[in-house]
Amino acid sequence: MRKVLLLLVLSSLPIFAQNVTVAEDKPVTNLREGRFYYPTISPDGTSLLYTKNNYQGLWSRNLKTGKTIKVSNAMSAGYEPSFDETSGEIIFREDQFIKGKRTTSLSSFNTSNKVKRVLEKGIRDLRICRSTQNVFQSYVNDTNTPVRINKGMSVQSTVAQKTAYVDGNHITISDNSSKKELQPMGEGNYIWVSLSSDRTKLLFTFAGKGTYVSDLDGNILKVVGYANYPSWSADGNWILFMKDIDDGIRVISSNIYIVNYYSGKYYKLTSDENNIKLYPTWGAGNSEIFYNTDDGQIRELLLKFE
Amino acid sequence: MKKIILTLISFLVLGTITLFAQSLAGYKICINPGHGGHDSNDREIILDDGIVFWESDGNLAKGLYLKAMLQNLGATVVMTRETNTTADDLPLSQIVAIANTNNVDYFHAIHSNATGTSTKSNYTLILFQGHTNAPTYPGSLVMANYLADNINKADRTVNKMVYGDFDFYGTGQPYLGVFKGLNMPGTLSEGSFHDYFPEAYRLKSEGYLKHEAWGIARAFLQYFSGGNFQTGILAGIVRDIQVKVPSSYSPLNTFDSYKPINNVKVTLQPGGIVYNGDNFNNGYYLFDNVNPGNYKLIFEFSNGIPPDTMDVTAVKNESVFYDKFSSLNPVLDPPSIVNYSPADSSVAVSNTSNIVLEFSNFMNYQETEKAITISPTIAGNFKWENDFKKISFIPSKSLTQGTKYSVSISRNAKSIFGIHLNQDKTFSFTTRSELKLLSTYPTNNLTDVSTTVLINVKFEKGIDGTTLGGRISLNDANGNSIPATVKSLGSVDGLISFEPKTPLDNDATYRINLKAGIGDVEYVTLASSIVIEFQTEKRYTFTGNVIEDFETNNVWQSPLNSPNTKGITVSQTSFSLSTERKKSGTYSGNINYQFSDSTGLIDLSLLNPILLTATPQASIGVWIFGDNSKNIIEYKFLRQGTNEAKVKVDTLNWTGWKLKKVLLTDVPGSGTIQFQGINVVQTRVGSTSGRLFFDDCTSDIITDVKLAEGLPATYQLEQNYPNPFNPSTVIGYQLPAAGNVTLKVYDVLGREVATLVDVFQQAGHYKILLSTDKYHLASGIYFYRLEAGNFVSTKKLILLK
Repeated sequence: MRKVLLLLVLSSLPIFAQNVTVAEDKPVTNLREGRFYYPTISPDGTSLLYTKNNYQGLWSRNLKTGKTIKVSNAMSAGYEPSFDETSGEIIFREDQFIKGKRTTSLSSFNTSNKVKRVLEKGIRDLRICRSTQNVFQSYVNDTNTPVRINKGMSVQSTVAQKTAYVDGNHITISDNSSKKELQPMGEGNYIWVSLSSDRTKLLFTFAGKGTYVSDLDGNILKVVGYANYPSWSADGNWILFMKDIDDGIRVISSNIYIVNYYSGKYYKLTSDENNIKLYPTWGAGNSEIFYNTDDGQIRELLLKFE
Repeated sequence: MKKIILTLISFLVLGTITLFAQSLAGYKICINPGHGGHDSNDREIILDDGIVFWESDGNLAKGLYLKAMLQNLGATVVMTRETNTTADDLPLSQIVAIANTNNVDYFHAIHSNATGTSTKSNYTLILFQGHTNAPTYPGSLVMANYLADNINKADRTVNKMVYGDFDFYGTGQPYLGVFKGLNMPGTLSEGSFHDYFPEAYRLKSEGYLKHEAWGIARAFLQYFSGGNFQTGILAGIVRDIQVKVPSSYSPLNTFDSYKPINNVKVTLQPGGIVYNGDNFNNGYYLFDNVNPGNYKLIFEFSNGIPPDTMDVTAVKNESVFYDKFSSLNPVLDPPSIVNYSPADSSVAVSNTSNIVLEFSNFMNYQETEKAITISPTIAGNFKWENDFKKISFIPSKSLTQGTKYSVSISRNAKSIFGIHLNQDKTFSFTTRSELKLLSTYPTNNLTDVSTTVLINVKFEKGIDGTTLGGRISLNDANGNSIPATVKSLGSVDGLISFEPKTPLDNDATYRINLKAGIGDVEYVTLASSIVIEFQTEKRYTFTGNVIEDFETNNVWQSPLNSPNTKGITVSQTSFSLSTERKKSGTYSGNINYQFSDSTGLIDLSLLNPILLTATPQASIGVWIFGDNSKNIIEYKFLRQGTNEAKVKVDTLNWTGWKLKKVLLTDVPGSGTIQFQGINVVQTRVGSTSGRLFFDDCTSDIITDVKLAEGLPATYQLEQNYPNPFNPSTVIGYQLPAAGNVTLKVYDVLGREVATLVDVFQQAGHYKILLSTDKYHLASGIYFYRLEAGNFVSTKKLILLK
């Protein structure tokens, strides 16, 4: 945790940057390796997770050596993976459908010794709660009770920190002592829900209406607008998102933006040329952004704040 | 929405008893009613009278009905939208995120289709991610097939298709955005085509939309092994028999060509449940969640014509359709039968006959079909034509031969206006009892049959070739089977033709065996076996001079170019040199002909008539492969260079090669005689078409037709005659045994200038014509050389020009 905090201090983005430019847009994977999507960075920034277009399988790439290992071939393994706070092990889900019904195992994978462990089996309606830096916090099952993983990588029922997750048509904010159900925009579908790193603000998208920031009582603090797949920067000053446009059949264009939470100033980080840029995620250094192209290449944006 | 709630109440009332026999409890399903918001990617269709169909409306209605059905089954349902505003046209990424966020077990998107062109279609298409045979999620393909079956049945689309998007769009990669990123199985249904106008009107019907939702719900029950609905659906369309839709609707079937009737009130009894038809030109009604059993539907029309009823049966987990024809201008006269077939008491009726009834009024097809009884019972289907005034019963297999059938139609048959048939009607007919053999060639006990006979067996109907195996054969007197080549199986005209692969023996007895069981195309069979016995011709030896061998083009004038040819069908008449048959050499002359009236004549003339030597016993003959047509062959001559004379040769009452000769003394007139050609003259009893082959016109037949004195004992090459010669001469030779034979001509330098024979020949006497025209020989001395077996002989000949 100390390492993470140090990294935060060193790399925090300026709150009131005058301008943000992209210093470099470089490939991480190439299409000869395969088509990969939905990148997720480790808290220490040393490894990048990615998966297939339908989240089947999970790969971990050491960003220093470029070496890639396959963590899992399971369905949904690449959906919202995370990292254990102390061990750095990858914590991820593995789904199976029996007679059409989905059940999920929660598993961990140690990239050093390549040992995989199943932490919990037969979970229905699994939701993984993770921090802005993809640190595993807890998981929620169909009983809607958050469950933690202790240092020994076994489950325990107590949850110290606030977590936010979607439960049906509302957002639930839960910790050890309380559980609050919010519908900040009323009845509808809430997606892409996350808490800011200080756990005081809630970022979410209300399907069809847009992306918002509210307090933990559901009071709207900021209207972000049309901003899909939004995520907080580690310092809570910035929100990263994509503006994807489709024709009802497939996505026809998409670009990546960040918006300063306080100034409200938007920065378009990619151009309409070349490929369609989707599913951006912050790098550990916060001046890095990873994303995937529509045809399955993982790329990295290096930002320059002036 | 109010309407949806009302209809939901109706099925709850009917179906509460059995609602819990099936379940989806514990499953989470995401339903995505496609498009939204009447915006640019919605695909509206502007119909008559300003009626507009928006795909987003239809998709949403189906989705909401489906949501209610699935929730009643205990499922948790996540809807991507429940209203239809611009904001509801969600980005694909949000649709996928909704399904993923909610951890649903299955995702399904509801759409309708459009060709976007003037070509009209109306099939059900189900798409999923992956290759068609290798889906990303195996469950998607399983569900896609369930969806295709059930939606196709509910919508009654003309066809159903299931495709993976990799293949459907031909990219080999994920294509549809609504599947990209889904972490569970998913499908997209294009239930039917909303730019097919009759379908667009149906998609305006709440009942129709709900019916498709039932189809999807049934598919989910199958997919999750949730059991079957214990209730059923009764549905149908009420149409006006007297009003057709505009041709611009491009109806894809007979039913869609009739205009639906608006605002029909349909009541289900018992129960008193009412379905009020809308005014969107679809005539649709639906009763869902109906307990299995018998009911009565009462149809009431807006213009006050008398209500009509229909007996119906509900079946669990099934949609049973009862379409109704009526009219806002009813004809209330009792219908009568104005025509029917087969005729009453008729016999020898084709075993593939349909039973046809024609009525004076538009008939209620269900009631009328039920009122028809056929005895003995036959499996088959009814087909209606002429605005439901004509019904045909089409047996699924042939009628039984030699059987008397009785057809009854009772007064229970009704017009579409509910008026009973004026009276009962019964008629009967008897089918053909057996397949009849009309003729054969050779006829039974015929003698002097050519050894190259073409055997013809003529039945009264086209023959089913599958019945011939082992049932037809040619045998010698000892019962040995003679190998034969089949020329015709008689599948159309009943004429079976075959010929021996090698000439038959002379003066021998043969039998054609036709066994019982040979069947025709009406599945009527030959009742008992038949044997036809015939005797071949005696062994004859012919010697003479071949004056024309049908080996060279431009010797004969086509009958089509002769002013004497008449009464023919030009397109079916021709003359050519043919390799199909020949008496000797490589070619024969072949005439195919068809007469167009009763006095036809085919004139085949030599371009240059051949002068004959008119000695007292002189004769001329032509080898003719007859066609047994019963027409007449005549030879044509010129006397004294100008006077045409004809001699009747014979009636064409044979097949196979025969030398047909006439004596020159029979040629009328006086003076020199030139052979001019051959005529085929139509007779009253003759066939109007046929095929003839001619070969080796032979004159100066030195040895008249005689009984052979035996085969030659030795090889011999004769001196040519005449010699010297111009322009032709005849070379004779004899063979004591069969073998390969060559007869070639060489010049004085030993160069080969003509090959007259190069074939396998039987033992016998042979005469070969050498023509200078054919081989372009100059005056001079030549040598001709015969090689046969070990025999070689060379003689000299002189050509003087």
